Amino acid sequence: MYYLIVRNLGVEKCIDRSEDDVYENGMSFNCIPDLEFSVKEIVKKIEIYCTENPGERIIARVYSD
Amino acid sequence: MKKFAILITGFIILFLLTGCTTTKRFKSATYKAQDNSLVDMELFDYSLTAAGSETPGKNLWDLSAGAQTQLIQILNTRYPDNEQFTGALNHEYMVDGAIPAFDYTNMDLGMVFTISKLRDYSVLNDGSGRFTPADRIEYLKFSLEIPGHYNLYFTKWNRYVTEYGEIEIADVSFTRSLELDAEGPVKEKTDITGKGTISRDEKQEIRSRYLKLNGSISDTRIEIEEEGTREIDLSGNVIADVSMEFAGFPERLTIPLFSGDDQEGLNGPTITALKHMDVLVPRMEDAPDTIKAVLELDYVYRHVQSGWKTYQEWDDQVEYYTGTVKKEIPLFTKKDYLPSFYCIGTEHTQKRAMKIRTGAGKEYPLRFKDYSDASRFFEWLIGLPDQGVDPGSDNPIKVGNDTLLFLGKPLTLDQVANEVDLKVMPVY
Repeated sequence: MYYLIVRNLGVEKCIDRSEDDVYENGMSFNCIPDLEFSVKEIVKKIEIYCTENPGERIIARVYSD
Repeated sequence: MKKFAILITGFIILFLLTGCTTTKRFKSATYKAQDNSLVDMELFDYSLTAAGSETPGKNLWDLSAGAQTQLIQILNTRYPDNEQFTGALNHEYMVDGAIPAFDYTNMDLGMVFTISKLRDYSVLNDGSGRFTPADRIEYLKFSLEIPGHYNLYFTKWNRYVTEYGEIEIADVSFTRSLELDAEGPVKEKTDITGKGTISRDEKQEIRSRYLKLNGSISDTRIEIEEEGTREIDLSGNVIADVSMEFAGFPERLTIPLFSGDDQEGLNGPTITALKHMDVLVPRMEDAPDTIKAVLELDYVYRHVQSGWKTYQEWDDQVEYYTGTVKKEIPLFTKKDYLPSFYCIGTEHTQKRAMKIRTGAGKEYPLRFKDYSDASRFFEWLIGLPDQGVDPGSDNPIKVGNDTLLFLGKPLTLDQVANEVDLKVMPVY
């Protein structure tokens, strides 16, 4: 399982997860969800958009379990 | 010979009239050198307040004219006391089901800067010294720049205050002069002693102006340029009020709606529904303890080499020094800009907080806008086993269509009864 994790004000949360690594730079996600996650290693660092506040890219990390 | 004496006397009078005049800036002026030690600048104090929040309420004045008249008559009958009547008129009524909007990214920042001169009285009569009581800061330009990684931007100038005056700006840039209230000619009487005593009134057609100010603002930088007119020293405190905005990151807050306080039963408050509100909070990966900015000051220092014993400046032999001061200053701290959200959970090896699963199967954090909401919700939660429900039940706890989650699973009454470390804790 792959987890898309954002960190804001020092607090991490998982906003999306997927069986495959489908995450790419420039994709848009709903940044409000807070899904349960347990991660082992970082796969990559990407920049995404939040659909609630479009226009500004934020840094997200893709982890795998 | 007599004609020659008259001519000489005429020249002396002419010299005195043109030489000894208060309209002269100085007797002589030279640029000496750069000296960065003559002036210093600090951020002396600050206040950071949230920009005004909107409450979706209505009061009497939102009604039509006819409805206002009728309601005023009714209120007048019910509240004959003046104070009660005024209170009833201005009372704000919440629209049913509406939730106040909160803004955590827009803030008003008030800064008090202090600009000081180096006052070294030990070199007062030393020819090579660079201080006399008549010295003044004649010109200064300072800027405050916020590093880009904070995602924090200036949006508006609001007010600028010096000891000579105050200007309301309400704009992104400005050019102003701070002036005396009374305009028009300023009369000064000057006594000049030559061979005899000559007395004259000098009418100055110069409006007495204290300061010339320029200001500009951009996303990450504000800049002020001040020039003092004669005898005006720019040392002292200045206040700059600006509006600022953090880049936003979306978060969801939960507002628990309780049954009215008066109707609370013996078992504590009862939750009737959970409302959700999406807000923007400052967007920064980490929450630094202090937000810092770079303060830079360029100045022109007017040192009076001789002539400093008189108040007038026309007899001053002036030496100009320029200087630059650049430093990183703390602007405000973590407690000022972090939203005071609270959650419920445990804090053993790491912080684990409760979440919510909606009827549609989406999972969100369970966060409250303040400690009061969180502690009332917690009180309701730990009171559930006392409300006649079997504490050993493994039924998930639900509020409406929302299911409470903890450690990835639906929260049960059994967990509430046995998880002794559950507590209200700050999110950030």
